Amino acid sequence: MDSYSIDQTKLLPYETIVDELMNDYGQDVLQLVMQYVHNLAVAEDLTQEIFVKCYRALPTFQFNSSIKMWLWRIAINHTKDYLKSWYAKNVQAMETDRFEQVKSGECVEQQVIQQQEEDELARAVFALPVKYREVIYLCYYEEQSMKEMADVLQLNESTMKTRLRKARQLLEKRLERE
Amino acid sequence: MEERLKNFKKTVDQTLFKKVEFAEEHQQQIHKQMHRSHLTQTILSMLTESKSGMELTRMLHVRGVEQIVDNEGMIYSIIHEAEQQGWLSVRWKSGVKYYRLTKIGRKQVQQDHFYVKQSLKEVIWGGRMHVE
Repeated sequence: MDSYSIDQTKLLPYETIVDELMNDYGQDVLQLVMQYVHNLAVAEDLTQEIFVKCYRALPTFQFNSSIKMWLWRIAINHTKDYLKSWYAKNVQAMETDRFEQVKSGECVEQQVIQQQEEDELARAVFALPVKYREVIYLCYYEEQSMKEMADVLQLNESTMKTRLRKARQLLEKRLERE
Repeated sequence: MEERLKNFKKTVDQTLFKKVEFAEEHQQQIHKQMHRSHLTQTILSMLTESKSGMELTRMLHVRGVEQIVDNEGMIYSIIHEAEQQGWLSVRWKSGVKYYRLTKIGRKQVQQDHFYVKQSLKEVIWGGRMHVE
């Protein structure tokens, strides 16, 4: 469900629309934010703010365009604003490494080489600078098309492609070194 | 590389996203915040002329604002917050506190109307920089 039809939405109160958006995309938005901030408590707070922001901005939404892409743009901009803020730069989050946390309990059983390689991959991706990490995430996790990615990241498609290629090269280099 | 990245989704689900769940309680929290945001805007827009808390409460009841039924304390918590933000000025008159929008408060109200008037493009794309 990518965009709601015009007739329906015009009749729905904004709160109901946000409700539907939360049902359809709540989990995706939370994960998207998590991908940027790597801290669950922060990601939950930001996600709440994003939906409230969306509620307040809904009167400006043009219902012939994709509401999902619109929501993604709000989410990405809001999260990046947070990353740029004084607070994010100066206050150290308690939960520093989620990979470490998750791994410790399990690695006894999961000593399969395949698994380790996959962990390495995820780690390497999440250690990339934001602009490369986000394209890898949108492309390989969300499986968005080049056009969608260019739309939500507000870049043109050729820049998008260059960035994705660069991101893959960086990854390759980092994984070889290990 | 391409081959390895095919496993990326599975891996991330098992590590970073393991306990990440958008639950019912998140939704409820968001509903609360939406209601509060709406009520705040209503209250602020009513305070272009100075009013006491009692007057404000009465007017909200007349308007049929359901949120405040049996929950009038919410009005005061919103007023207090707005006062802290510098959106309201306070004046005492014969033992009663009167509230009124300040310049910043008026801007805050207009900003929300501005949100409504502003084109979609400006809200979403308005002069953002990219984080490196």
